[in-house]
Amino acid sequence: MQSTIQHPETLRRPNSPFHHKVISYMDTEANGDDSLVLIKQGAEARVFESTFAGRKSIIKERFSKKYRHPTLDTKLTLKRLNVEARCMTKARKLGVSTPVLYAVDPVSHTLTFEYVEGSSIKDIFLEFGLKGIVEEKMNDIALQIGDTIGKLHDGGVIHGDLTTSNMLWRSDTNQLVLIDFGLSFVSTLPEDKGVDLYVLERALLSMHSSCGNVMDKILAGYRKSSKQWSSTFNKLGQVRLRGRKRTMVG
Amino acid sequence: MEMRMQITPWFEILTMELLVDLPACENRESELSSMCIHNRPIFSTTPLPPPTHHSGETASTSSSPLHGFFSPPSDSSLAGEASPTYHSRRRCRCCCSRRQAAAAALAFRPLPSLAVRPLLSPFPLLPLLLFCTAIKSHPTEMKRMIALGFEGSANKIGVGVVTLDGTILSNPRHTYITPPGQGFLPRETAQHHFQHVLPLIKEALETAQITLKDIDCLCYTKGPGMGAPLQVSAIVVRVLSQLWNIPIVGVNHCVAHIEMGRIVTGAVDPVVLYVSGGNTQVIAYSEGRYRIFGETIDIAIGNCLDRFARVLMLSNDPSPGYNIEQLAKKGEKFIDLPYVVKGMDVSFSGILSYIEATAEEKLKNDDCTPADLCYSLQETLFAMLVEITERAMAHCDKKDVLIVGGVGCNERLQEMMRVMCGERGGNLFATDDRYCVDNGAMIAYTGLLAFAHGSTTPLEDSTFTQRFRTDEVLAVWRDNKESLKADDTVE
Repeated sequence: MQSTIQHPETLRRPNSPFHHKVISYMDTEANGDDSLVLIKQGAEARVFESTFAGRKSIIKERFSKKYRHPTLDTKLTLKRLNVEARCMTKARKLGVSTPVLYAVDPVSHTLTFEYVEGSSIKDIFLEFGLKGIVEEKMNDIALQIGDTIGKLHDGGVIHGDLTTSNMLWRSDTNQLVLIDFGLSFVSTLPEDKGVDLYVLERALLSMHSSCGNVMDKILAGYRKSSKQWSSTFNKLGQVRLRGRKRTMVG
Repeated sequence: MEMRMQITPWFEILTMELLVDLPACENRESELSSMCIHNRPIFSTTPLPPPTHHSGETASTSSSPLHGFFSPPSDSSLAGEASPTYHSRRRCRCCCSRRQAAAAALAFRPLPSLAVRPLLSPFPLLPLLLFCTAIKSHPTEMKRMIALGFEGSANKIGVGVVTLDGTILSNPRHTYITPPGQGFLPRETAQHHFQHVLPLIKEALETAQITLKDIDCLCYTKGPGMGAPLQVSAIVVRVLSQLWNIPIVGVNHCVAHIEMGRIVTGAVDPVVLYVSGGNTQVIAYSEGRYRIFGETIDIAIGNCLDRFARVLMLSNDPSPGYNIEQLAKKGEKFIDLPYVVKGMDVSFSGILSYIEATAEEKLKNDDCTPADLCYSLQETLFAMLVEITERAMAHCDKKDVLIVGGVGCNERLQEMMRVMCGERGGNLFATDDRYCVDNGAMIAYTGLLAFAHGSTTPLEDSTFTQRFRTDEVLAVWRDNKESLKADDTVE
């Protein structure tokens, strides 16, 4: 899956206001090897592994979508880049574990973060599905997911794209790390919190139905950490009943 | 309520005639009319006026189109007075009011009164009855499996004949087209379907060059869709099933689109974008079901486009979406519209309200042309669709995309999706309007898949429903196929 690709042109653009920052990590690279290693191509961005001031880092480049109209594309890319940087920082202030943000470059549409050692929750759950569930680890993960989302919501941050691919498990400290805040926004409405949880519930159902009822454990964790859990849970109940063409009772 | 009044006499006339014309109906009769169309048991029997015209007027006027139908040649035992089943018509309380009985009796008068009946004269059915009784069903021999499928969930009525390997023997269809500025309403659409279903059945069977004994199952759209139009194919299938003694298979419309797309394009395990006038869903197969990863949270994309076409008073022929697409090709200026993506879900109603509210003024002030509006609307809506599809692809680790549904034949959407797939190293599978748009063959094929894996719908369960989610269907054929494939590779 891993492949070495050409350094994106955009990173070297001299007119970038963050030009020095981009250059700085390259200067400090030990071998002067300026190739980036593509780790993953998500829906919106390419994720590269690199080095930033001597530290192993991740560069997330929001690439331009050729299928979109240029005006629309620029608008969306910039908006999401800014939102991601802001919400991620805000989440860290709320005590949610996210990667440390090193640099933002709105010209090349890149963010540079700390590299988190560990695998994604999606991979862990899929492994559980294949090899059997390690009950202790599962409970720990589910509790931490609930706890993290609870803290986030109480601080008024809605993640917007809660799936198991957007959660990492830091292998040395066994700590949950939340990533990808591109669709995040600030809101204190129970509606938005409920929908946020519902997105997660559906993602769990569609990908990890063999893992048993993880959502209940997550909600238990959420309940412990969030003070406004009751209004959120009420709303979640209502949100669950929505959906088009669902069989209605009564 | 009015719907029922129009449909029920029709159905009853049909049933009655079948009883008259089928020789061996003594033991059939109990199963034949034990249920009414509302799925309630039929409990009472009411005598009907004796069918005087059978040996009387109609038979004598040989120029009448009814000739030969109302006077079965030389078989007096089948003619009215000798047949006990004819006199005792069974009725249920829910759908057979007195008025309807009267209407049914009316329909048995000779030609002139038939011709002036305002709505849904039984005319279209007569050829069917002639046709049905001409060919008698034989016990089926399993040579190649063939299904006859009926689709009528929206403004198209289609009949298709398909074999299990996906060969389409025939696939005629007729669309109900409304004047510009108007959408299609359930009642009128159902009437349209009634008027066209019979010629379509005949055409389908003639083109396919099959006889009744070749047909293994009758498939129909169980849902989702508009209630009244759905009723038509459900009724036709029930009648034909009993007449020809062929099992019924109820089919989910959305799943039918997916299966048709897969067999036509050869896509193995794609992420499916299903976009039509009533549905907008991003679907992928996982653990026995087609699961919905993303969908619209309010109106469907086709609905949004159709309603915008009404604002501009674009023609509905062949479809509003097609005309928007053609007009959009002339558009140059991009107008900023709301862009609403929520995770893997989308919302279109706000965009529609916005463009409906601003279009008039913008056009008046010469800010933009109708073509610009079509262009901007398409660009915005399709970008949202491609985005949620891409997100689902990243989430499920699938490379290929299949676009199905009526909006799927839009070439701009296909082009955008192809660019996205190219960037991800996958392939786009799309079809043209023969398969994208609702058709009978897709219902037939999907029903046949289910039938081949041992699933049929008993008569009393052959209902229709407006709400029927894609993920409610257990895709039995997918699992078996995959395990078969696995076996092949082992060998």
